[in-house]
Amino acid sequence: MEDLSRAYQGIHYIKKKRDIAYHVTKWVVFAIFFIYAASLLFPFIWMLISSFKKGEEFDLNIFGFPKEFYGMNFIEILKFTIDGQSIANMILMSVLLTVLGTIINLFFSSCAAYVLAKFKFKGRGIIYGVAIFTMIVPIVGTLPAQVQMMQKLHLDGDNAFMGILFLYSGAFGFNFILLYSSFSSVSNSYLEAASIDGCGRFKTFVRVVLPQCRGSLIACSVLQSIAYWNDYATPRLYLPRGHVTLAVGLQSLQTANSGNYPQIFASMMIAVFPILVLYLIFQKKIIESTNAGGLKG
Amino acid sequence: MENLSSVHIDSIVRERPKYVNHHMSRRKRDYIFIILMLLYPVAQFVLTWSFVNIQSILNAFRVTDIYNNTSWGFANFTQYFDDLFHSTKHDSGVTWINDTGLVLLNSLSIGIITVFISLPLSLIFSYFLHKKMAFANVFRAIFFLPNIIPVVALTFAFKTTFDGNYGYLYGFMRFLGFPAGFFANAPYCSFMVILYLIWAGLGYNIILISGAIGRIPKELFESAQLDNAGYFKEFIHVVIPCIWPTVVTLVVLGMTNVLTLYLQPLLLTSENTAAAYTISMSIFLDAAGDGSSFGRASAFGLMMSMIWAPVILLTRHYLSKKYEGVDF
Repeated sequence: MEDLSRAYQGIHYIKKKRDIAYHVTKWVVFAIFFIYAASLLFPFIWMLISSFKKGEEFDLNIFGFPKEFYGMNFIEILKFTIDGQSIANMILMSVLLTVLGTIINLFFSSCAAYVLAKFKFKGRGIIYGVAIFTMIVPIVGTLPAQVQMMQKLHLDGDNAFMGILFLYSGAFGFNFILLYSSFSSVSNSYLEAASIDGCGRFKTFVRVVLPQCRGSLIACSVLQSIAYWNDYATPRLYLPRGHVTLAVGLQSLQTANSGNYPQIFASMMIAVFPILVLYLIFQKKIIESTNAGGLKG
Repeated sequence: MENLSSVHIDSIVRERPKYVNHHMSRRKRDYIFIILMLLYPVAQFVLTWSFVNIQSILNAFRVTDIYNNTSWGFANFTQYFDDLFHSTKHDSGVTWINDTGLVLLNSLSIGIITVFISLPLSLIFSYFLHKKMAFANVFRAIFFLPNIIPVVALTFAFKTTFDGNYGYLYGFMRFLGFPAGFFANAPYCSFMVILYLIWAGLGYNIILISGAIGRIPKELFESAQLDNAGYFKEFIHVVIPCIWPTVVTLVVLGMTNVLTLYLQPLLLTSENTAAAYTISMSIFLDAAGDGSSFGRASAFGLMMSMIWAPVILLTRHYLSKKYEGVDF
């Protein structure tokens, strides 16, 4: 009996020791997470605070709060020009490309995804298979050929804006997969009911199917607009100097306005702000869609 | 109610003939609809994908001399091997390896870092986030931020952290023995690129791994606890095998970074530090140039794809075999 109680005590002791180890590990990991999270947030919080300082004040007071909040940095940077183009104009270019690009991409992706998901026809499997295959297999070194294609189609130089929209209009990408699975899950009985009600095919697609897949469409449009707003490479390659987007302009601004850090910080905040707002509103959808896009190997 | 539904049906019956084209069968109209809906997406895809790939292959085999005479052959390919093994060009500032070798080394080290540092860190982070950690959702949301913030702004934030005048980590790096100009001089700029990739690259992995861990049945964790398994054993014997397909995907994605990653080193080093060049960065800069290096760039890309893609596929094949039949 005594042996048994001693054994129990032993087990209790081991369990207690393990519990302590668990808690210590958890707190250490928590501290690491906190430091890592702070390292991600701090530069942006610091830039935000510093963007309200006057240039002279920033040099004297790098890490403190501004003595008075100077909002003019945001106005002045909008007027700042690089190659004859103001930052305000760059923002307009970014907004136009983001909005039009997202609408065009979403429209064509949903057209293709709907037809492939809901209609049976010869070649359907081939189109789907090729679309998936080309998405998965990366072929490197095609960028020069893409530049040549844009030159041959006269979609570079002065027509680069249209050219970029043409590149953005590719329907067979991540959105296609997400929308394909979303459209597939819509019951055919809705389509049949719409047909009985005298609804044409396109009207059924717009009035019946799209509203039912609103969640996926919102997720796709949010992710796509973030991608286009952030896109650096495509506008950098095709847009002529003096007609660039904010993402490209921000890179040039670092050398063009290197003396005035608070103004550069203000421009960075302007670039980050819309994305952060979208992220705060649609955080759950963005993360869910990222998860859905992570195809298994 | 009866009246309402009869009115509705009546209106349908009356209105239907307006939409019906008796001269065309339903199937035919389906096909017209399908063609119209797919016309632009397929045409755009065929034009861009086929033109770009065919043109890229042609570029790779086309050789243009200084008099603008064109011939066909393997000169663009052989030149790369020649540069790799015999070139004495050291524009990067690194003396023990030539510039072409350094491009390959940089790209490979990015792949190695992604697979052997970023991925294990992401696995550990995701595991503890799953362990009812306080503020787990807040942490997850913050960790994902680098994936949505413009890369120009993110690289700027990172660079500013180490800025000689204002950076709060500048002094620390100097204390570690780094000379000034971390982003401009070899080999420190490569180290800074790698540091950035680890710092900014965990969020995406964490989201995917957290999703996979969330799909593991709770019973498996409970039985591990009953067996007195600690964090380490649970992580190794329960979590890793259960999320193996996701791990394999992330290894594959990490390996494709060798071929595709260029934006981060490009922006961190302001496009002008040869020591930070990667395969796709050198291709991007050639594409952004005057066109004289298109052939070399295409040949380089094609060659690297042909060498590296089978390596990725083989790795995926063998890794997938490790825990077959697991799918969470």
